[in-house]
Amino acid sequence: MKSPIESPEGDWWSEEVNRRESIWLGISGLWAMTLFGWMAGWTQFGEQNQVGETLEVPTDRYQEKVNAFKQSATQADRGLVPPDTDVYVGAMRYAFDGLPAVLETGTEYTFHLGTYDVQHGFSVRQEDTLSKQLSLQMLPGYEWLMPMEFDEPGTYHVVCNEFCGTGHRTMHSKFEVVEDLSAVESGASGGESTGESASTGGDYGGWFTGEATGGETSNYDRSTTDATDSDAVTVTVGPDGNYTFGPPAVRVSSGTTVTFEWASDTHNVLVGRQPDGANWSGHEATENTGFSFEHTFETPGVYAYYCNPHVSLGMKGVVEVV
Amino acid sequence: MFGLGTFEYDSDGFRDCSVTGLRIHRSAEDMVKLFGVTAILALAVGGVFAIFVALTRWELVGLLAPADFYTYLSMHAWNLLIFWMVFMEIAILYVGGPFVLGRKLPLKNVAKAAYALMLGGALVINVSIWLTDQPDQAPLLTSYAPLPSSSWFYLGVVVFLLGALVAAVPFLTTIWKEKREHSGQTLPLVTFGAFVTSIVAAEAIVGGLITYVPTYLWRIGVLAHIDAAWYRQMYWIIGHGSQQINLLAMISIWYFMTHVVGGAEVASEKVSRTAFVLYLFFINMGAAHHLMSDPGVSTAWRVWNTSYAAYGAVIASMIHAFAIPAGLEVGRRKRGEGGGTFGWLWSAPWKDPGFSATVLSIILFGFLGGTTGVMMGQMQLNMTWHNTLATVGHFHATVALGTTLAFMGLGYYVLRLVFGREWILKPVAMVQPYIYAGAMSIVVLMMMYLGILYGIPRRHPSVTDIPGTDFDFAAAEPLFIIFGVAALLAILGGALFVVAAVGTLVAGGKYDGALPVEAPTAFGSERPVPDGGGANASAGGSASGSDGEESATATESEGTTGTGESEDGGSPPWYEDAAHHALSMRGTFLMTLVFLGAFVALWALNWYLLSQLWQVG
Amino acid sequence: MGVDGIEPAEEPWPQQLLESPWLLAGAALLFFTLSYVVWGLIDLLSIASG
Repeated sequence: MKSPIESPEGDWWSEEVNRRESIWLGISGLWAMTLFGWMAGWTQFGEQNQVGETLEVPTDRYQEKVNAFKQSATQADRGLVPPDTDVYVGAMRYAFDGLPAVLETGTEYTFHLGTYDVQHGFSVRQEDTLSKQLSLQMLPGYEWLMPMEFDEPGTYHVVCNEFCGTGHRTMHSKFEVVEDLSAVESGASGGESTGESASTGGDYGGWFTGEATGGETSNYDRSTTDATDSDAVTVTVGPDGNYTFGPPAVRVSSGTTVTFEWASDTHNVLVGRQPDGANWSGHEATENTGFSFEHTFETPGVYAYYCNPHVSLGMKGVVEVV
Repeated sequence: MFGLGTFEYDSDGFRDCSVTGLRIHRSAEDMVKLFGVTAILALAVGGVFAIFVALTRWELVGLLAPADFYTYLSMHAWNLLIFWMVFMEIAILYVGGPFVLGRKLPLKNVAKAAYALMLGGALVINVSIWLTDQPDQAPLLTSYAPLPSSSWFYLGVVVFLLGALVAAVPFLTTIWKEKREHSGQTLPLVTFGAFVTSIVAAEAIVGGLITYVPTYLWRIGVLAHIDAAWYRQMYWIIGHGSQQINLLAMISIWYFMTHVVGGAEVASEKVSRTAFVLYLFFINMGAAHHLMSDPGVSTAWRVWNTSYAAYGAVIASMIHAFAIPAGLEVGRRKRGEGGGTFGWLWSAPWKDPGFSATVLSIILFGFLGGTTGVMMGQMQLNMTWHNTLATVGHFHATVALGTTLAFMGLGYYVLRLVFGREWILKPVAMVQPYIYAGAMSIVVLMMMYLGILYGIPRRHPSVTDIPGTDFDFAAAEPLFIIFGVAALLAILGGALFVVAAVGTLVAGGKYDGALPVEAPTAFGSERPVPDGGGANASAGGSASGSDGEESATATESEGTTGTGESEDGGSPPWYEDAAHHALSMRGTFLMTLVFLGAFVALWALNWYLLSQLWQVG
Repeated sequence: MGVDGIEPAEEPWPQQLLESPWLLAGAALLFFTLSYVVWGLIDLLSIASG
């Protein structure tokens, strides 16, 4: 009896194999060779191979590289136009630094993929054809150079598909591929404006609510810290690692210098709106703990600002100058 | 143990199973019960969390807030992918070893200590995930460094893995003793399969310890830095390896159950054992599948490892895909149950949930699970699958369909043959595998469709509304509806199993051990036409082995008497030693050709889709 | 001593090999360690700084 729960006896190796089973073995071998050969061969004759150089780059150094890229790129209305064929993407909790970008068809770009903190996913799809999509992994401590060339113009949306924390699902950006780059308007816009201007009425036009730019600000209790008597005021960026500014709303006298001090990593300060004639540009590059910058606020009015990677989580603030 | 079993043991602690003919010792049986019941409890817990996960991803309901989603998802993952699987696999090792060999379980106290470690680890993991709070994040399954989780979590994993490793020791000792005492004898096929399972498991677990001990040290501040690329390479040894344990355990069960319930026999010891050895060497290389779209590791490393050494392990899978139905076909033809090409299949005991669950496991694992695993593992195709919902579809096909159905089937028979209890709610038990398999198959198909053709990401609580942008995946909503409904039905199907199992444990009547497969019918019944012209049968005989060429001639039974094995003492029936190679496997051959056709079609479709993508690399 | 009627030495060598579980296990573990772990680590350790 040939039972799988009994010991087979004698020389079972020499038993003949059923002819059909032998044929199947041959087919299996051929199929294995086909699978292997095709995959190996595609690296030579195929156009889609996620093969690219990897460099070991610490996260803060990579952040510098991305910032340098952003400085040298041209700021167009729809995104950054790279100075050459390198496109830098720095993923962080919760944004894609370096994007949005504007690229042109038929040019082979080198995408530089890395992160500032934890693992993230670089998941790209064509807006009009969701089935044209790919995903690549981004790791902190590494920079991955991946050539890509787009023949079809359109908008390519990027989401993160590697769990990176509470705000993971809010990570989104895009890049546009156009046929003619020269037709793209250029002109600095000092950081992407992410929301419609808030209506008047309510606390600062409802800036801190979920109705305006981004999500609801957790540490805003509808009161404004009064620092009108102070000569120098400090706003803490990301105190205790929270996605907040401390204090979220502060009132200062005209001519006061406000210092923004970073208490945690990967934050920036972008200006949502400011009084006419004011010239505050915030601080667009993302910085880490210990960084600080200051601005002397002259023009009276409401300066509403936010941290771009964390705006969806409500990291917003106001400086009210009287 | 527990007073839930009905069997009596002799003074040495042994009993004879009238169904399988196995001689079973109490020491092994107690442990099989303990680990098996724990596994089913983990299934129940994980299944409850499945409700929350499914009803959140089905955004019409959108049950959980994002922060909670990740915690519930982690509970779902660990209880089902790890605890349901690994506790059951230890039970299977003790069945494949001591049960099949008719031996006592050595080192009983080691087995108990292992259980305590595993249970303790599992509880610590469950609690630490449940209590996740800032700055920790839910680990999901993969706990990718440097995203931190609770330090207790990592400790719990280390303890659990140690426990599983220790649990394998009594099994390995059994094998060692058996080989020492019967050095010239071959281990039974199921035991050999269990042995391969244990080595693959040990490999995976050691990889897991190499991953989690340093990660724990990093989390508590002893190690300053943990490298993300190194973590991923090492993690996936346990990450994927733990699932390869499932594969091997499942296949061992397929051989076992098709035999016990369906009357299958081993078509070819040589071929099946060689296939297990291919697995032994190559299957854990599949960990590389998770690094296909990663920086760091070289192209050559990726191509070689992802292919399981030029698809050596895929050959093994295809061997089993043929050998197991072939064993069923041959075994049933010998018993006069086969007529025509598929008579052996239609006449099989489809109303027996042990059988139906097993066969559904084989078919669905093959068509939905195994094929998609090969797809995703092809380096370049991986770009379109990586971290999409299609990946989730793949492992629900392999684990939630394949392995879970196999474990359910085995579970039904553990109730009968180990606990000696007959199933309560028999009509429910009869349909349960079909409900579960049907509903879960739809879930799997939806996930794959959503992932590949819509690019829906995995590990996202909501994709139809992304804050801060107009872009979203709302176009996929209709498919999510089908997914949601099917998921609830599948969970119901799983719950029915738990109810039937637990109900049987506490309230089932005594099972009288009737042989599910009828004894081979009398000699007078129609003898099936063998494929070789004459059924010359003897071990080492020179039957022609050519298949299907000549018309049958009625030959006399020439079976040699196996040494003293004749059942009734007279001349043995014609089929007793009918060489397997001479009995037809044409039904199996047709089915595997259909399978190959589906495999090739799916493969071609995937490569076509990839070729439409923009240029990369 | 073979209990199955033939001496182990009479079995074809592939059968003898398949009946040597510890040898197979050891070879498999070694193969995996080299092919997956060591080669991969070498790859990671030879990544250039950027």
